[in-house]
Amino acid sequence: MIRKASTIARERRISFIIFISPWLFGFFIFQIIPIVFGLTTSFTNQMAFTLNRKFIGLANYIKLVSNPDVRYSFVTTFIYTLAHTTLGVLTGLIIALLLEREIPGRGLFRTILYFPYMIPLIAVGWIFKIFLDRDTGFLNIVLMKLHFIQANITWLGRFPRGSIVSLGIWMSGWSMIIFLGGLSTIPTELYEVAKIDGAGYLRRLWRITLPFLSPFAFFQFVTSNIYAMQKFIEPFILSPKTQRGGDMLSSIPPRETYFVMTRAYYTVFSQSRYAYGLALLWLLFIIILIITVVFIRLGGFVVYSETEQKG
Amino acid sequence: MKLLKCALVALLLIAGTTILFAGGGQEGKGPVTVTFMVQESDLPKDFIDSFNADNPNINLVRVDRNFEKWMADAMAGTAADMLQMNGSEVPYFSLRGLILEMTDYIEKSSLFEWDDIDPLGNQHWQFDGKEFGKGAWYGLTKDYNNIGCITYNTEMFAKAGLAKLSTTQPITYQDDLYNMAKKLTQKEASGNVIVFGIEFDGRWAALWASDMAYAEGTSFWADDISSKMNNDPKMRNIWKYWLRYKVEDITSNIRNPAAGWAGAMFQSDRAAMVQLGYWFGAQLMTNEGYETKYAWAPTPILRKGSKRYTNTLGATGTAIYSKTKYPNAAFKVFEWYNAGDYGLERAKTGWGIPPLFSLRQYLPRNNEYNTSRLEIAFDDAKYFVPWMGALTPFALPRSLFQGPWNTHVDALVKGDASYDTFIDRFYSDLDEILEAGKEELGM
Repeated sequence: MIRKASTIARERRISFIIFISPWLFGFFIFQIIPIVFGLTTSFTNQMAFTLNRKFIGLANYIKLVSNPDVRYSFVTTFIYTLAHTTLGVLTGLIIALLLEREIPGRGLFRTILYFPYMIPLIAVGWIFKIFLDRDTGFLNIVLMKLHFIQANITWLGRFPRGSIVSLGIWMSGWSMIIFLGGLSTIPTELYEVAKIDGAGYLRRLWRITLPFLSPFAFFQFVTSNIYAMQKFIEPFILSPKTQRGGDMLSSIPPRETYFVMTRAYYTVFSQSRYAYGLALLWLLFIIILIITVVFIRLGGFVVYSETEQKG
Repeated sequence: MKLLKCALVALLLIAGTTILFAGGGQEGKGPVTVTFMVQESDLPKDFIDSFNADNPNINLVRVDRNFEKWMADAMAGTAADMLQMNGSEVPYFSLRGLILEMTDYIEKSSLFEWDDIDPLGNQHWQFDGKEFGKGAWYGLTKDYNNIGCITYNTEMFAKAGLAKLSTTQPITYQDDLYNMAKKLTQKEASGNVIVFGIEFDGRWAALWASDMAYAEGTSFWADDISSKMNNDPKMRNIWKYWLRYKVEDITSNIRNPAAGWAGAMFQSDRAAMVQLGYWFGAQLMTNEGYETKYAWAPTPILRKGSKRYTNTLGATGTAIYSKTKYPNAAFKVFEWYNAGDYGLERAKTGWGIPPLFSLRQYLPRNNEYNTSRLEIAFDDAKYFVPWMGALTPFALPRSLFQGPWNTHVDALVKGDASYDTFIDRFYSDLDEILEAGKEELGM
C-alpha cells in the first residue's frame, strides 16, 4: 500500500510530539511553573502560611536593596567570587603547566590533585574543617613544629572567607584537567618553530600557550563565576559555629561568609519569609546574568580564536 | 496509532487510579499508617516494633526530624501525622491551624487524668490564643526540665578555689555566676581559651534572659501582642549581661569557637559550667566518676533578694497534625508515647521529668547524684513561668532569637560594634521578622 506523503509527514509530526512530550511535560511542570511561581511570589507578601496573600509590587526588592546587611552579603559574595575564580583558575593553570611536562609520577600527581574534586563536597568540607581546626588541625600542628607560629591560630574564625577560598583552591583539580585538555590541543610544531627562532620558555608561554588556552580559561571564568556567586554549603560547613553532631544549617555563618545564597536559605526556611527570600534569589539571578553577559561580551576581545569572525 | 493512543489512555487511567488509592486505608477499616517525625533517640526501633506488634491496626513509622520538611509538607497538606516539637512553638502552629486541638481526646482517654497532668511542666502545651496554661490543649511534653539549673565540674571548682554550690540556695546571675565563670575560664598566654567558664549559645541566653526579665519586672516585648522588642534600659541591660560572656571569652565565640555543643564541651572538660537542666544528668552518667565529678545547683536568681523564676524552654513534646487522616490512631500513639509503655520506660531513665505526676515515681533515685539533681529540679519547678520568647505567635522562637543574635554578635566580639549597636541591630532584625509574621496572620 502506498501512503500519501502528507500522511507520512503527519505521522512523523505526531511521533515527534509523542517522543518529545515527556521531556516537555517535565520541563514545563518542574522548570517553567516553579520559575514563574517563584517570580510572581516575589512580588507578594507570601510567608509560609499567609492568610491574605496580596500583590505588593517591588516592595520586597526595595526592602532588600535598602537593607545594609543584605548589601553586605552581596559585597562579600563578590569579593569571594573574585578571589575564588581568579585564584582557582590561576592555580589550575600553574598545576597543568607543571604536570604537562614529562616528570616522574606525573599520573599519580594528576590523580592526587584531582582527588578532592571527586569526593562529595560535604566530605571535602569536613576534611578541610578538621585540617584548619585550631586545636587539632594539621595546619596548626605543622606550623607550630616549624616554629612559624607561637600559638594555634583560629583560621576559621579569623579568616572565614579565606578558609573557603583555600578550599576552592584545594579543589582546583577540575581546572587543571580542563587546562591539560587545552594544552593537548596546541600543535607541537609551533613550539618547535619558536624554539628554532630562539624563543625562551616565558616567551613561548606568553605567545603560544596562553593564547591557545584563553578559550579554556574564559570558559572557566564564566562557569566559576556563576558557581561561586551561588556558593551555599561551604559557609555552613566551614563556619566556626558549626559543631560536630549539631544541626549544620541552623547555625548562621560569620558575616564575611554569610553569602547571598546562605542568607536566602535562612530567610526562606528558618524565617518562613518565602516572598522576601525569593526576591533575594531573583536579585542574585539578575546580577549573575548581567555579569555573565558582560563576561561574554568582553570574551570576544580577550579570547584567542582561529575561527574567522563575521563582520 | 490507535493502538498507541489506547495504550497511553490505559496507562494514564492505571496511574490515576493508583494515585487515588495510594493514600492507604481508612480509619477503622483496616491497618493505617501513622508517621511520626521524631528523632531516633526519642523513639527507638525496638519500641516501634513493640507498638506495631501490640496494635495490628496501626503501622507506626518514624521519620527523621526535619522541621523545614515538615513545614513544606504542611504547606502542601501532607505533613507527618505527628510531630516532635517544642512547647514554645504552640502559639505559632496553633494560630496557623497546623496542630490538632486535643482537649476532647485527652478528656475521653482512659490513660490520661486531668489531675495527673503536671500543669506547670506542660503549661506551654495549653494555649488560649494569648496566654499559656489556659484554653485548649495541643499536646504534652514528653518530659520537661529546669533548664536554668547549673551543672558544674567539682574538680575545676576546687582548682579555682571555689566552694561547692548550695543545692537549695540559688546563687545570683549579676554577681556570682559571672564572677565564678570568669574565674573558671582558663586561657593560654596567647589568649586562646582552653576551658570556658560557662558554655552556651545565643538561643539559650534568651531563655535565661526571660527569667531575669521577670525578676526585673520588665519584658522582651514592647506591646501586648508581642510583636515589637522592648527598648526599656532594664531589658537592654539583661541582653548586655549575656553579651559580656561572649565579648570577654568566658563562653565560646568567633575567636574561640566551641568544638561541639555545650553538653559535649562540658563532658570533655572544655567547660566548667553549663545550664542545661535535669535531663543532662542522665547524659553525664556515661562519664566515669560522674557521682563525684559533677554537681548541681538551682537556677540562679537575678540579684540578692530577687524572686526566683525559671522556665522549661517550652519543653519538647508531641503534637498531632491538624489535617491528619487518622487522628484517632495518632492519638493512640500519643497515649502510648506519653502515658503508656514508652512513657513509663522513658521515665525510668531520668532523661527529664515526665509529663504525668503518676510517672514521677519511676525517676531514678539510686544515688546522691540522682537524688540531688531531682530535688533541685522539683524545687525549681515551683517557680516555672512561661518563656517570654514563646509568647509571640509571629515567628518560630527556635530561630527567632538565634538568627539575629548570631548574625551580629561577631562584630561585637571583634570590637567592630558597641553593645548598644548590637542591641539596635538585633532588635531591628527581630522587629522586621515579627512585622512580617504579623502580616502573615493578617493582624
